[in-house]
Amino acid sequence: MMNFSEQIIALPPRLKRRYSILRTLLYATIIATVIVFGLRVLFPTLTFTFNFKTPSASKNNLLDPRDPLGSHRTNGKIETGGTLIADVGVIGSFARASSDITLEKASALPESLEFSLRRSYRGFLLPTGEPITSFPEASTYKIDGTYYTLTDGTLYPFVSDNAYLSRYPDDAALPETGEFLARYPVSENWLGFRIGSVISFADGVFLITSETEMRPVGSADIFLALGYRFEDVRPASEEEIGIYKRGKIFLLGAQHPDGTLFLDQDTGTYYLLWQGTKRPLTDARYRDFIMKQQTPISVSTQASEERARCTLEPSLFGRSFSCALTLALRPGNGNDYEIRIDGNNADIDINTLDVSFETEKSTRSMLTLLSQIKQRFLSRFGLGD
Amino acid sequence: METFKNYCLTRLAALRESGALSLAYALLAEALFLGYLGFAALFTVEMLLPTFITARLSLAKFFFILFLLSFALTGLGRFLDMSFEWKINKKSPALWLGLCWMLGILLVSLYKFPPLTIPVIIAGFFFTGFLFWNILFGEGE
Repeated sequence: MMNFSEQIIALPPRLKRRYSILRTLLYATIIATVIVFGLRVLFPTLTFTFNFKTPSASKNNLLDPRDPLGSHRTNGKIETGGTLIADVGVIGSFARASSDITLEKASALPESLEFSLRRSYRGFLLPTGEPITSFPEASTYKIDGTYYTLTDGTLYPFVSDNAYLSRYPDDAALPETGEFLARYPVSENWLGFRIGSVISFADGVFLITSETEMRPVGSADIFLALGYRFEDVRPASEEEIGIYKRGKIFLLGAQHPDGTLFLDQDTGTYYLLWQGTKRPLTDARYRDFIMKQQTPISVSTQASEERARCTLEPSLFGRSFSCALTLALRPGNGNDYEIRIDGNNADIDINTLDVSFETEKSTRSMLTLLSQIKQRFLSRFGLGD
Repeated sequence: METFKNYCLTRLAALRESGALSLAYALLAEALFLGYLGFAALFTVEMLLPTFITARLSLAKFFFILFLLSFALTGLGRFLDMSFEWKINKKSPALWLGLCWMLGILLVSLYKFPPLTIPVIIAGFFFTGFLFWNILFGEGE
């Protein structure tokens, strides 16, 4: 160890003792800092925030503040008895969560305010819609080796057999001739994969989110955290992905696209996400057809209904309220947390909402992190799976 | 303003007389030495696992603080008429350790770069280093 007082800087002998004490303090501070930093690395506390005064700021990482009916609530105002819901996606095993709310200066101070969390996949927390009782009807044809669907008097060609077979079984297409083709106008718009399909091209994995858009998945961790399996990824060609425009990157906390299949382990019910609802899929033929391509994402109704809650208490000074709760929610049924602020007995105007998740200080958490580090290190040099 | 300046100078002179500033100088030099070592360690981890450190700690801010403290140390050294000499010669283990570290960082950062651009980047890196060395340590040239 370098001794700066002797090797480099000549200190008078009377200061040597004081120097030794201060040096010991310096080293103690450095060691304490290293330990604290190490613990923060191994057991991080992840904080998510939303500033309602700058709702479009990129720093806001609490997703989609809204009321129970789905209307945006990005101004931070909650009427008496109203509810604010937001989401966050987070990977890890957490022991505690806490919430801090800062109210606007002009806001009334409520006597009661509740914070609660529940865990599942965002898509599975959507309201239940009408059951799907049959395979989607379509008039499909195979003409000169190309699949078409006839919609409103126009023939829409499929970009590939692969794309057609992601939507319909091979025997559903009636064989037709060029004469049939001449009878109808052929659209210039190609049809691609079933919405909700998971495809890959080069190093990327993409989710088909609409007839015209696909979104790249942010990372392998995110892909797995969304409940997908790499075995279900359908390789696609450049021509096939060429019909889609690339949407924004699919990150943790995003809602699964339409066409995603969930299996409720508690009731054995299959649900298909479609236009803002999860629809029970009761048609066995359609269900089996989708399941041949994609393993359903496992969920639990009971687990998704469990809530951890605490009452937000006012701080001594200022206009902030906070509370912490123990997260004893059942794991393994999604990595999205639905945050709910309600129970206020006065109209309130929130300035900022912060929600923190404390990683469980356990050997399991540490080993998980070390395993992730190892995986990242290997994939950095192209040695991973 | 003048009174305040005089007051500060008087206080600083008193602190210099008491030896407190020499003590601060020695401790600051040691803290900075450890700080730069820590920065090198964190930078190495960041190179091996991109965003692993920067997601938790801003290396730019850390380096900026080290840079500011280095200036403070230089200023304090001038005030106290104190300085220390870095005796770097070809036999110094610190030099070889530093070179090995630099080479390692270069290799890691240039991994998967097009082979033709690698010599250009390395040449540019060493040229910039040479210029900085001359600016910082060149004696009256």
